[in-house]
Amino acid sequence: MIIKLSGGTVYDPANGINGKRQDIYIKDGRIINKPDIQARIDKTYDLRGKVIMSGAIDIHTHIGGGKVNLARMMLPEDHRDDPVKRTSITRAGCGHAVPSTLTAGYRYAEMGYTSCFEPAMLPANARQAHMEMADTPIVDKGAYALLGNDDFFLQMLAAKKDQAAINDYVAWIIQSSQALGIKVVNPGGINAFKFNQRKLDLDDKNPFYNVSPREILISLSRAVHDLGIPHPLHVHGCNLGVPGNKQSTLDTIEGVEGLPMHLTHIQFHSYGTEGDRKFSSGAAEIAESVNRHKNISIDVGQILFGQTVTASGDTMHQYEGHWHAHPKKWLLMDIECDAGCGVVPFRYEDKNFVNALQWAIGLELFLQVDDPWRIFLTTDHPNGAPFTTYPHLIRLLMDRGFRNDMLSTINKAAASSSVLASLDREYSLYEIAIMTRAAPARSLGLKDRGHLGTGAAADITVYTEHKNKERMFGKPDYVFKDGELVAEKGRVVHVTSGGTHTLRPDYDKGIEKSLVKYFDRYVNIKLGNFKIADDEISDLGKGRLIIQPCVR
Amino acid sequence: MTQDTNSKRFEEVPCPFCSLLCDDLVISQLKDSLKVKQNGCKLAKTRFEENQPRVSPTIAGKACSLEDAIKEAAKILKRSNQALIGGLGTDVNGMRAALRLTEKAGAVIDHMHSNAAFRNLDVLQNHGYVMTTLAEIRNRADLIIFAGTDANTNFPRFFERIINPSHSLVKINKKERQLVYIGDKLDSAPAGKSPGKRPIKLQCEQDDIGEVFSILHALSVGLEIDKPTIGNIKLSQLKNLTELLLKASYGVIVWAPGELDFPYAELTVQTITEIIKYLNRMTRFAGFSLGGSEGGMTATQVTAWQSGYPSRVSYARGFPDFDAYRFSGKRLLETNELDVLFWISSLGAPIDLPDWRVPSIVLAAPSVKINGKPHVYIPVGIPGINHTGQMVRTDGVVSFKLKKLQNSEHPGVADVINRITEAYR
Amino acid sequence: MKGMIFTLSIKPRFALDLSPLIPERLQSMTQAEIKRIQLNYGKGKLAVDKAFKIKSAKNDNIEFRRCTDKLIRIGRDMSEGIIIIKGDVGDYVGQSMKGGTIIVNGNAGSWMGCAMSEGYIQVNGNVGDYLGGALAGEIEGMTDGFICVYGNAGNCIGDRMRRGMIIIEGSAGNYCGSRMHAGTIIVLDKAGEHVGFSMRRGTIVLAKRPIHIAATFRSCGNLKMQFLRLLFKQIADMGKQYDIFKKIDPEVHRYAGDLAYKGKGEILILQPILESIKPGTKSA
Repeated sequence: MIIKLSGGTVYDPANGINGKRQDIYIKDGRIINKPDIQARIDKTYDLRGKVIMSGAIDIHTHIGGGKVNLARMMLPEDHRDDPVKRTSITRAGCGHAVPSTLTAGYRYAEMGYTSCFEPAMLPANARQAHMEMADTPIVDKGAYALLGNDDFFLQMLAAKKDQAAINDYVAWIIQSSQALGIKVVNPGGINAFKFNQRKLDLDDKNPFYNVSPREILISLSRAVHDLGIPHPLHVHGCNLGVPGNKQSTLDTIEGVEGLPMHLTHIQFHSYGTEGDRKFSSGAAEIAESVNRHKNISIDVGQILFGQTVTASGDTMHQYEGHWHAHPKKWLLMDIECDAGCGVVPFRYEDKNFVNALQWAIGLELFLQVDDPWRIFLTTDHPNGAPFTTYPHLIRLLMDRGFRNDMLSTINKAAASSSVLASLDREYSLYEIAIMTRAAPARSLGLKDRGHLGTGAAADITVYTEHKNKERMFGKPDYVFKDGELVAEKGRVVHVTSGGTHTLRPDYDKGIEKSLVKYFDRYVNIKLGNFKIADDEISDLGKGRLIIQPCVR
Repeated sequence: MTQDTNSKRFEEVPCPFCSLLCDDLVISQLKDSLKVKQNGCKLAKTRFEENQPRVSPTIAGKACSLEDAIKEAAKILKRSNQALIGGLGTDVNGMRAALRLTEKAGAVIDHMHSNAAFRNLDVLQNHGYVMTTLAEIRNRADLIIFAGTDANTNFPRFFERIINPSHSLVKINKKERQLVYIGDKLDSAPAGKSPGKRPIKLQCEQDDIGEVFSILHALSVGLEIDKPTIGNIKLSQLKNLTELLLKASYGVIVWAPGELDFPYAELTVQTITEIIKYLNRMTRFAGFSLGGSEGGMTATQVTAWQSGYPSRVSYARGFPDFDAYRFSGKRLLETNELDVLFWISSLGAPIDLPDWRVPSIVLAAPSVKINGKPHVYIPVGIPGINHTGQMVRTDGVVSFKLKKLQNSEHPGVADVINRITEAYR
Repeated sequence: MKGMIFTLSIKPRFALDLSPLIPERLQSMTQAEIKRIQLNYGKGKLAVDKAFKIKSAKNDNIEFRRCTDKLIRIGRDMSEGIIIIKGDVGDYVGQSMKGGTIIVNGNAGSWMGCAMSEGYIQVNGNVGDYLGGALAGEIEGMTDGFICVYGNAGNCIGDRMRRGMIIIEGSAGNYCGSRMHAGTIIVLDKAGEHVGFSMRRGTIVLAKRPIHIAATFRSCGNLKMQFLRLLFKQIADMGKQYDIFKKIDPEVHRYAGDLAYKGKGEILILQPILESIKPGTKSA
């Protein structure tokens, strides 16, 4: 069966196509060359006047795993006003800040997203994260395994094990937890918090292991690089949310010795201490540094106003954040000599100085980082805002007038302390296509995603161009997933099961010897039971493993 | 069924029969029978080794084909106006199937032990808490307080696996570990055998534990209490314990919601979680809850990710509707607000069917004792014996893949329910 | 508007959710439209006229007659008008009520007045648990309004209550005023165990000394409290049914607690104890 998308205007940055009218042909879930004249076209969509992009990719969204599920359970009041009824093709669920897995999958697809990546999968909790992702329909999934706070790794660093051994461990974690990348959250800080340490800057030492975040970052970045894991080390840095943290962020960028590194939700790490309130924007300096260091990529973690919930592995800073919980409830968990998690509901208020400035800082970063190939559009769902706000965020980036209108409604002191009003930049459709498609696919090493060239997976989104970009991106006309029409006019019309992207980096199996000993002695789980078998992902015929090559 | 004449040996077998999910069992199989060779507690031995007779599905007590039983179950559910999908003694896939059926049948879903679970969930939803997991306790805790549970009676391997480890990461001097018991009828014998300090025992009624923790909380804050004794406990004892709380490097309070078995025990749980939160201002402290057996924690987790709510969800209006009070399965049974009861017990819990004349559909392992007469009875396989599956441990973090040890002619819960859902038209 | 009388004509097996039948909604509807309102019943719907006989009333009230405990959520979200309930009624009467009056001539279930923010509820009978409580996940229960129960109340009344007044002329069950944030509860007969459990702020006035007051409530001795004098006068002024408050002396024994939570709440035990007060049902 061949589908023809006829006459649409294509934005396909990976192939250098910027708003060119061209036909696209789909067969067996893939994009194909224009078939022979004789070939039968089974279905043609007349897309004259429509905008075509590949399916969007969310590189950082908390959609599955322990802390997300704890947040769901904790917040019945969050779901109450957004019930989702079952239909003849879709299951029931609920939405808002922490939607049910089923609803999350549908809503992503309805917004034209076809791949979502869970950025904080604890190896100890990986099985559940995968089970939740398996119940997230339509979209492809993948996850980054959390390292850098686990006692095994810190023991290795403390014992000055060589890089090769660390690489073996990192590769083993990737394989045994079925991950696509490695994330580090507050390097060493979650572990230090278990020893009652409340602050850990880049060169502070973990009180027990005597290792610094800097050493952890270098060691893990090196491992990710050496193993040929396409996505650079995904870093949630030190001092999240702490005024003045821009310095540790700048130091982190400098300190990684030129290795590739991805700094996530950098908005939360771009704060200065200027002004009467000792809270100011560090966006200009961060952006300047990112512009200068081509080894660095970032995602923003934009905040948007309203009620949401913060769910993070960073127990140290979630503990501090709990004083601002809204509503006043919060949870923390120390987890399995592995890491931890904290869930703190939060409401960002546009009239609150700090929140309003956070909003402005995120946008300043978007507008001051030059290269859209190294900056990705995220709200750190749900931490900055639920992912359903993306169309609104895109409008803020593409429409200066709208942005300035919004700016005029926020806390006056925050607005006047921000340079946002002076930033004229408006993102083009081409740049949006880069930062939501081509760039994340490239960063993650997904060669057949994020573009519309021959051979690519037919994950395609079709929009009607509209002056109001929120409207345009909120309800795409058509969304195709692996060549199947899954959503039309912003409603799911067909439910499929996405795959799970993973890697198979090489390692010396000898590492398992010390791991068996460690697991028996300390974790008290059998190593064989810790590992997630391939058939657990493909269980029930609902999932499918997509093994991405390492780049070596 | 394959007939192996030779004995088979399975190692690293996870045990699904309590929520500790010990995964180090060694089990041998000879012909049809299983034998726990190493590392099984009494419950594991009973359930793994229990004879599972071959039985037929029945309708109104008469043997029938599986297909007829499935059709009948679908028919009854279709006719129902308010069904309860209860019991939920099953694995992740069983829960996925149960939720799909609940949605289709517009029923209410709730686990047999949710009364216990909601003692914690109420606190989570209203205030939140600070918790920890097994390996953290094993490696870090220097003060462990057992609140209303001895951890031993219902979780016999807790001490062996967590309290008395051969090694610990943080090199807590084992002799320095202090155990404290607060509550009634607690068996502190295992603590006596532990290498740590002499355990402290504070005897009080279970429903006075909340007041004891409130006092400890007030004392920790530095406020004076003017009553010299609280039940059998002297204020001086509580003052001494307060010193220990404040001095601990990593303190843990363990409770078992199922053993705080009195009305409104969530309020007691909250006194525990609130003092833990407070102590975290100065030092590190965390809670640990022992519960969620018979698939309870698994049911809670799967229901939460698919519906957004932990349990006690009604799909009567087509969307998940949560009410911890009205959609309690126990309450619905007591008030007779049901017209069909659908009950799942594949892990061994006995079934008490209500005596009123409401048709019941029972999916149970063949060995499960049923008190009452189910209208439709379908024998099912046991997860972790007859089929693989996944289950979630008591801390809600770690889950295991269960092994298949033995063939069974009985299908698994997920399989049966999915067929009922298909037949429901 | 013209009032209406709904007389239950069926024996509901399942809970029948009456939340659509509130004065402000019915006001703008014809009787024919009202008859067709679909009520949630089990997994199905039941039209109003399949469950009730309807007739116009002589006054402006909405009246429910021959009620049973399967009727739930009467007066949910109402903000004006008067609802009269005759017979026993189920859970969640006056849930999230924002104004108006509900009078129950019979017993009511649990969660009455939960999350209410204004309005008046009077029960000439007994009520269940969690009177004035909170919706799932909400930090605060009732945030204002006035509830008076002439009979007895169940357990955990005023749980997480934020503001407003609950008067129980009969006895209250266990955990009275649990986790209260603020507001006032008055119990004129016995209160059960664990009064004021984990309360943060707020006032619980008891006419009879409970068997046990937790150690985290500190005795502050006997006091004459002017605010109580004013409060009782205010209540007495609300109508004849509150005449009893004219007789109560504002001298109390004060306990401050719960000390685990800063001890800013109080349990006030009236002195001398009012022997003359007996629980019972009166008519409105």
